[in-house]
Amino acid sequence: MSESLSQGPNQENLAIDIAKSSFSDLWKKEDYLAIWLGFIILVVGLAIFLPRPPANMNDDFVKFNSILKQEASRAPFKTIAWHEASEAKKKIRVSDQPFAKSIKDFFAAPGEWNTNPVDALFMSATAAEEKNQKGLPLFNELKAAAAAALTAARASEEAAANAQFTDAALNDKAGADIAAWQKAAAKASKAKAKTANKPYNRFGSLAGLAFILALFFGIGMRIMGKPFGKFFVGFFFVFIIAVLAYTAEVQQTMKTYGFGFPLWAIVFGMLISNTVGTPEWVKPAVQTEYYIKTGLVLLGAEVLFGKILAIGLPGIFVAWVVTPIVLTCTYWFGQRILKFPSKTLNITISADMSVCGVSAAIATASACRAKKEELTLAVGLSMVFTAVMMVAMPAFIKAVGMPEVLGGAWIGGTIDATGAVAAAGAFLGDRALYVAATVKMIQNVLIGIIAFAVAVYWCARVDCQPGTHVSWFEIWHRFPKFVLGFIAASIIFSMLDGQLGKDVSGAMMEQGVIRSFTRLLREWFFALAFASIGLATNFRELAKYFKGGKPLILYVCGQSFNLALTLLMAYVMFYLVFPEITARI
Amino acid sequence: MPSAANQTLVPAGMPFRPAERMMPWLRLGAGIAVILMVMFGIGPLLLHLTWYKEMSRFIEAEGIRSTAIYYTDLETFSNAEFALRQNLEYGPEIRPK
Repeated sequence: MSESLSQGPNQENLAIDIAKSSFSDLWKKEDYLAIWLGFIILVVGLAIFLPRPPANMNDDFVKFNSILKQEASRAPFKTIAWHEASEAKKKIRVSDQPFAKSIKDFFAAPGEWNTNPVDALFMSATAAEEKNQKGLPLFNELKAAAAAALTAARASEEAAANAQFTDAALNDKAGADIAAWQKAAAKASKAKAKTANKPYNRFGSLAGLAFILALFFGIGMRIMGKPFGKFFVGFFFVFIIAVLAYTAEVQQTMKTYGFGFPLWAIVFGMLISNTVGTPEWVKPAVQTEYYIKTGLVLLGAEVLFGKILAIGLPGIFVAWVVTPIVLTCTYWFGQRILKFPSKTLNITISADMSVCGVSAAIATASACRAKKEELTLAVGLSMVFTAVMMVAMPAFIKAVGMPEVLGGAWIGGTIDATGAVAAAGAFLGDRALYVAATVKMIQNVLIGIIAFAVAVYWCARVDCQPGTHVSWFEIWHRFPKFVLGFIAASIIFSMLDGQLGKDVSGAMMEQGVIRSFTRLLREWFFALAFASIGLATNFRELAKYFKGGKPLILYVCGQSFNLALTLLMAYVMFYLVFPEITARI
Repeated sequence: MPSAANQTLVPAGMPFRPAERMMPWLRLGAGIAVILMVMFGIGPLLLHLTWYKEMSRFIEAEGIRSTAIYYTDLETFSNAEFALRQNLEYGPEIRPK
């Protein structure tokens, strides 16, 4: 029998059936406990990072911003000093401090490998040195090229400066030479990273992490009145599946296709549950909803509303106007035209396809209490189509000679997976990457609103008898409470983000609390959740949801509409309504 | 007539079918074999298609985590947003051509 994501196998559906709440729900119900656990992590993150800013952070920001303004008013192009100040400003981040690096190392997932999976967990000093030596010739070559490009850029800038920046030809040449230097410097920097491999042994840190997480979630289970010991023992098995999923993700070939840990965790889990069976002693730790809800509260902190202004109105129109239209139309199409048997599967696929792939699927499926098979199907569809679109879209854009900014906006608004957007955008060029990444980021932020809207709609309209009026009191009882934690985390972190200002927030909150701490844990929690989904999913049950190929038809039709509408909106916004923004990108 | 050893392993009335008991493990082995075939056979083979080959090289050279599920999961987004913000907030005025 399938179970909903938000109702565990041993839970009674009390909140829905008899609409009764008690004070003890605050610690006995999984929804509330996920909020507490998530907020404990968020508070710990803030307490670790915020009191430890980089030395002279505020003074340095003032200094570099003043240089940037001065240089921008001096020349009609971005000068060498402008780029140097920008680069120095980017390096002001709490994550470069030793304590932050230690935290990141502890939570780190397995590293990259090609043919030997042990490489993902262990690299000797000799192997690291061999890799560094292998990368050294290319780095030296690119470093020399960057130095030569800088010399040429300096000469061009000087010539333009000597003409008081009034000679358009000299200005254009200086701008082009500086851009070429930037490109060469970026290449050299990436090559340098390949000569900086350090030996690692992740067996110890992973064992430590497994123990801490088992304890963390185990105490939560005990608070909810469930046995600690049984959960604690079984947890290590689920954790191993999560580690295997991460390991498969970083295999050199597989990562090209964008097949991430969610897919692998489901595959490995299902392989076990559908062959030798999930061992009985593991089952108490197979707690999909518990992990996913705690992870979603952490994800809430990453939903920063200030991001929607990153590229101004064109970005908002492409990401925040097109996306809800596509989501609503696809859902309507699924219900009215395709006669989708499951509304929860329909909305999960619609959100996954129109918003941002796996993360949107997780948030939406949890908000509407979709079944785990439905989430599995949505994730699988998204990953397969992402693997195709990531390669096909840049190929098409290049073939038809589409402008970079338009291509970037199109990619950012349509490719599901966030990582694939970065790859496809960067493949087209820097400007395409900037736009693709920013549009996708704005779209990512939308999942907070989508999850909340879906949860309210489901409580008020879908989960009730047709024609009956549902009171607010009843809606409150049915509402998945962890969504409130997700929204609260988003609002609190967005307010903090706004209070600190873009520069300080970027250096302390985004690079510190979020990227160096909470998001690493959030990924582990999602990996545990997907491993649990796999360990509890029957293959035959899953096949039923694919009957008639309706999910595939829904995805293809919805994505085709998405492609057409996003392209149209991107063209109108970036080239007809706001060409001045496009010119400055 | 079952042997004494078998009598201790198989419940009364149940026929002793070693092949049947091995089936789940054989299925697991077959599943692992399929995964390995995808990872080391079909996957690399498809990378010989022109566009995948180029994309693969590009992802490797740029160090992009193409499997990321949220913008905070990869540095590329942070760098892109930073560059765009610098351009729009501190960049020189450029009129559209």
